[in-house]
Amino acid sequence: MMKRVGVTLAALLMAVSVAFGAAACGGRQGEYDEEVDTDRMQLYVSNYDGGFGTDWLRDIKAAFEAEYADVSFDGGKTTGIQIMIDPNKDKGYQLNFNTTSNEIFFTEEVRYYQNVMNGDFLDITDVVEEVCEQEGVSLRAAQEQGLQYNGKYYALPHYETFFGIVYDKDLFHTKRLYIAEDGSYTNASGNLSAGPDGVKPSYDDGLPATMEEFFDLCYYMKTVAVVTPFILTGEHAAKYSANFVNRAAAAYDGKAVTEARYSFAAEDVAYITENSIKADNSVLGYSYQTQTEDITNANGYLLQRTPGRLYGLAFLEKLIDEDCFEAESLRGTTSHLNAQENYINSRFKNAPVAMLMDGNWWENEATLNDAFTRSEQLYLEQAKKENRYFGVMPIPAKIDKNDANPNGDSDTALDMYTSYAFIAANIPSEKVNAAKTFLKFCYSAENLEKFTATTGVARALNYNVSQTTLDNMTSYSQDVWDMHLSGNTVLQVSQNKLYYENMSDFDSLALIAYGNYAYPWTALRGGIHTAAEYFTGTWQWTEDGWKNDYGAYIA
Amino acid sequence: MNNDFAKESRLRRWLRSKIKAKEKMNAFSWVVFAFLTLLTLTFIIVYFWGIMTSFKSILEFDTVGNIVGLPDQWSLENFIFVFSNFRIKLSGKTFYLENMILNSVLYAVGCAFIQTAVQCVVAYLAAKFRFKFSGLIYWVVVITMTIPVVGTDISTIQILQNIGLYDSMIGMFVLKFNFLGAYFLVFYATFRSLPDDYAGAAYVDGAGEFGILIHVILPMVANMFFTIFLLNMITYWNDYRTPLLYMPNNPTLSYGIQWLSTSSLQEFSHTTVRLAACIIMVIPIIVVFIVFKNRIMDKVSLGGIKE
Amino acid sequence: MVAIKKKKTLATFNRKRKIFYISLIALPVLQFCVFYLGVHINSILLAFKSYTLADEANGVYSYIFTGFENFGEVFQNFAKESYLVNAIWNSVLSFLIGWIGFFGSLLFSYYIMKSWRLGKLFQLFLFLPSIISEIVVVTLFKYFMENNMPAFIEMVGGGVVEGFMFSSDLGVRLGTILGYSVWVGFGTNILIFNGTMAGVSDSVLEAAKLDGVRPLREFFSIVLPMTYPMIVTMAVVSVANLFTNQMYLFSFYGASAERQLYTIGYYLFLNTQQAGNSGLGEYPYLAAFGIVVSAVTIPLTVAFRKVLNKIGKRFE
Repeated sequence: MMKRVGVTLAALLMAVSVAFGAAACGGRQGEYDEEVDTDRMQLYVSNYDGGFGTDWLRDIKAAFEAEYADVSFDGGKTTGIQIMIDPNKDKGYQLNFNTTSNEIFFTEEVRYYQNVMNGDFLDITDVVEEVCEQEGVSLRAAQEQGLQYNGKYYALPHYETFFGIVYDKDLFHTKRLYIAEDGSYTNASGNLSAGPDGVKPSYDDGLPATMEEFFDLCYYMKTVAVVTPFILTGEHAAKYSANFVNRAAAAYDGKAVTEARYSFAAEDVAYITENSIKADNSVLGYSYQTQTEDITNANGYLLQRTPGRLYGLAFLEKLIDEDCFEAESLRGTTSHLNAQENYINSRFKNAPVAMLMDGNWWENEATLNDAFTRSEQLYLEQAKKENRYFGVMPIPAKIDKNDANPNGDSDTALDMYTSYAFIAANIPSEKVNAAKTFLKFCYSAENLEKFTATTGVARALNYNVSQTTLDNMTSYSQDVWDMHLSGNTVLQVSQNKLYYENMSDFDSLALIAYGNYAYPWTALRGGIHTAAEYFTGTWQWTEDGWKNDYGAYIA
Repeated sequence: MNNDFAKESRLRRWLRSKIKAKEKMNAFSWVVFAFLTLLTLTFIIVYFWGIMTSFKSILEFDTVGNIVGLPDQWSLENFIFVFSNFRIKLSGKTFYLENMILNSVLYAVGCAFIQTAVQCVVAYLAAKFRFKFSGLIYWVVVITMTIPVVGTDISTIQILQNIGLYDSMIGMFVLKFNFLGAYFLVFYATFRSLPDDYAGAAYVDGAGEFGILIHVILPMVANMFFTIFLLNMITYWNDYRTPLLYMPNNPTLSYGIQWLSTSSLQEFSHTTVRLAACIIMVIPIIVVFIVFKNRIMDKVSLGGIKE
Repeated sequence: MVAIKKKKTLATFNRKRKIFYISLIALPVLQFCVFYLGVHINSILLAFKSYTLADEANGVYSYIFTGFENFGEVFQNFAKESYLVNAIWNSVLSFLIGWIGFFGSLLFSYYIMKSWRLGKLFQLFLFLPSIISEIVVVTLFKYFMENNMPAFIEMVGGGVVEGFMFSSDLGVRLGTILGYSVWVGFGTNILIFNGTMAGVSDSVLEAAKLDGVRPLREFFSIVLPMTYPMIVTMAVVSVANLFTNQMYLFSFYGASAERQLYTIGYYLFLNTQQAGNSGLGEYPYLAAFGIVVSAVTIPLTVAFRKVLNKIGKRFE
C-alpha cells in the first residue's frame, strides 16, 4: 500500500517538475504570427482584434515589407522591416507600457490625454503633418486643435465608430415598411416620404422622420406585417441599449450640444428645468419646461439635463413598453454575435426581424464570425452576403410633426470608442524612424481607402474613397461612408483642460449611471424607474457639487 | 447455455445488490427516495445537456436553433477549436490551453503537496513533542478556524507585492506553506492516537528523529496523507478565485474558463464552444475521481479519516 | 559515573529533539507570523491610512496615517449607496436559504447511511458538484436555464419565455441563483455528515431497532444528537461565511452582476480583485471595510456557537 501511494505521489511530483520545465520552455509560438528574421529590423505592432479584425493590417504589412525590402533604417545593420503583428484584445486604458513588447498600437478606448500627459506616446507631429499633406487627407476640424497637446500631436485617429439601428432594406421592400408621402406604407418603388432630412431624393427617403412615425411603424410591423421590430443581444443588452440612448440623445440634441460635452463651450443650450417634467399621453410620454444658457466650464453640469437625454431614455422606455424586442434574443446567453446571426437569418426562418441595435462594426464582425457563411450554407444563394442589403437607419430627432427641434435633420452620432494609432514613447531610438515610416504608410491615401474597403468603416479623418471602391462595398458600408461624409459623428476630443484632465468622469457610459444602475436597461425593463425618474437620477451634479469637483477649472 | 445462465444470474445478482436496499424501506424513506431521484435526475439532465451541446456544431446550435434535441451530427469541432485557439492575453503574454493546464497542474499539485506536507509535519511535531509551544500551535489552529476575519486579501496582496512574490507561482507555494486548517486537526488526532512504541523501537535501533519521521511515522499515515492530498488537489484544481486574486497574470485552467464564460471574445462567445471548454476542464478531475473514488468517498470524515 | 553518563546522554537526546523540532517548525511558524499575524496587523494598520501624494515636488505617492477617515467612508457608503444595504440583506437571505441545503445534507446522509435503495448512486451525484469546478457547474446551469429551459417550455406549448439568469425581473434572477445554491448545496456537506453518521455506534442503532424505533424517530432522536458536534462545527462555519459568501455571483456574471444582486462577499471580492493590480489607493478603504464586517461577523459567530453548544447540552 505504502509503495503504491509513494509511487503515485512520485508520479504526481514528476508531473509538476515536467510542468515547470515545459512552462519555462514556453508553449506555442508567442503572440506574434511568425518567427523573427534576424536580417531585418522588427517592428512590433499591436492591433485590437475586435469588430474590424486584423486582415487590413496584414495587407498593409505585406505591402510595406515589399516596398521597404531593400531599405536599411539602422545604418546597414539590417535590411528591410519585418512587421510582427500581435492581434489582441488590449484596450488603450489596459496597456502597460512597461511590460508590453509592442511598439506601435492600433487600439480603442484610449485615454489619449492621460497617456500624453504621462509621457506614454511618442511625439508624431511630423507624421501627422505629412499624412495631412496628402491630397484629400486632413484631420477633422475638431481634431486639429483637439488632438494637440502643447502644440504637438501624439496619435492619429483610427476607426470612427457609432452606434445605432441597422435595418434590412430588402425586408422593408418586400414587407412594404417604407413610409409613403401620404403616411401609408409602401415598398421602395413607391412615392416615399422625404425622411428625417426633409430632402427628396436622398438616402433616408421613406424612413421615419419622427418618434411618432417610428413607433407607428413598429406597431404596423407587429400587427400587420408580422415582423418583429428589433433584435438586441441579451448578453450585452444593458450596455448596448445605453449606447442607443446616448445615440438618440446626440441625434436630438444636435452636433453643437453634443460637442459641448467635451468642449464645455456652446451658446443657447436648452436644458430641462427642475421639477418640470410631467408624465402625459404625448408621444414622448412626458412634457417639460426648458431654459437656455450658454455652456461654459462653470455650468457644464447642465449638459446632463438636455432634452435629448430624456428623449433617448423615453425612446428606450417606449421600445420596452411596446414590446419591440424579439424575446428570444433577450436571453442572457445571446451574445452580440448570436444576435447578429439571428438577425441575418430571421428572414429565412419566417420570423423576420426588421432592425438590429448594434454598432457600425456589426457587419464586419458578423463576417469574421462566419455568420454569413453559415447562413449561405443553410439558405443558399439568397443568403450570400453580396445579396443582402442592410442600411443605417437615421435616428428620428423630432418627437412628432409639431416638434420644433432645430436638430431634426442632422442625425448626429457619437464616436464611441476613442480609437487611435500611436507609437510608444519608450520605443528604442533606432526604430523611431522606421516606426514613423510605417505609420505614415498605414495612413497613405491608398491605404486609408483600402482600410475602408476591407472593414466597411471609415477612419476618423477626412479622405477620399473612389466610386469603384464604393460600388464594391456592401450597402451597409456605403451608408456608413455616407454617414462619415456628413461629418455628423462627434469625436471625443477637446482642448479644454476640464475635459482632458478628467476624461473618465465624462465618458458617455459613465454619465448614464444612476444609483444602483450602471445602465438604464434593468431599471426601465423591470419597471423600477420611469424614464423621467432615471433621467433626473443621472443629474450627477448640483451646481455646488460641480463647483466642488471642478472649481479649479472655472475662471 | 450453462454459461449464459450463469452470466445472466451474475448480472442479475449484481444489479439486485446495487438496487436493493440493505435495510427495509418505509414511507419516510420512500419520500426521501422520491426526492433524491428527482434531484439526481436534474443533475443527470443538466450534465447530459451540457455534454450533448458541446458536441453540436455552431451551425446546428446557433443557426439552425437545435437547442433541446440530440445532435444531428456529433461533432468534435468545438473541442478542436478550443484546443487550437483558446488563449488569453495578459500583460502582453499569451497563454494557450496547454499553458493554463500546466499552471493548473503546478498550482494544484504543488500547493496541495506543500500544504498537506506542512500540516502533517507540524501536526506530528505538535502531537508528539510535548513542548509548551506545541500546545500553542494546537490552539492557534483551533482559534484561527473559529474566528472569521474578513477582507484580509488586500493586505495579503500588499505584503506579497512588497516581498516580490505577487503574481507568481512561488508566491502561491509560500502562501500555502502553512499549517492552519481542518486537516491539521485530522493529522493531529491521528498522531496523538499513534502508540509511541514504534518510534521507541526505532530510537533503540539508533534512528534519529528525521529517520523516524521518514521511515516510521510517515508510512503509517501514508494513506491519510494521500487522501488529504487528493482532496486538496481537487480543491485547488477547481479554484479560480485565489489565482485570480494573487496570480492575475498567470492563469490556471479554471481561471481561464471563468474568463471565457464572461468574456466578449468573438470566437468564444458561442455556447457550444464554451461548454466544450468546460468539458475539457472537467476530464482530468473526473479521471482522478474515478481512479480514487473509493478513497475519496468512503474514507473522509472531518472527525478523522477512516483507515 | 553511569548516572552522569545517562544524564549526558539524556541531555544530548533532548537537545537533538529540540533542534529537530525547531528546525522543522521554524519555517511554518515564520510563514504564520508573516502571512497570518503580519497580514492581520497590516490590514488593521492599512485601514487607518490613505494613499496620497506625500512628496508633491517629486510626485511620490505613499501611505500616510489619516485616522478613521476610511471607516467614515465605509459608513458613508452604506448610508449613500442603497445597494450596499441591499447586499447585507442578500447575504443574510443566502445564508438562510443555505439551511435548506444543510438540512437536506443531513437527511440524505442519513438515507445513505441506512443503505437504502440507490444510496451510493445518489451520493455520487450529490457529491459531483463538489468535485467538479464551481465555474463549470455554474456555466452548465447558466446555459441550461437560459437556453434550454425557455426553448423546452416553448416546445411544449408554454409560449415564449425569458431566460432566468438575465430576466428583466431581478426577483427571478435572485430566485434562480438561490435555487442553484440549494441545488448544489445538498451535496456540499454530505460526505462529512455521512462519515460522521457512519461513526454512530451500531449497537445503539440495533438497540433502537429492537425497541421498535422507526427511522424518522431514529434520525431525530439518535443520529442527530450523536452527530451534533459535527453539525455545530459545520453550522458555525456557515455563519462565519455569512459575509464572505458571494452567492456564486462572480461565477455567474463575472464583474457584471447587477448591483441589486450584490452580497457583501461579492462586493468585497470584486473590489479586491479590481484593486489588486493597480488600485493602490483602494487598499485602505477595503481594509477598513473588512474590519467593519469582521467586527460584526466575529461576535455573531461566537454567539451562535455558544447558543448551539447550549442546545447541545440538552442532548447530553
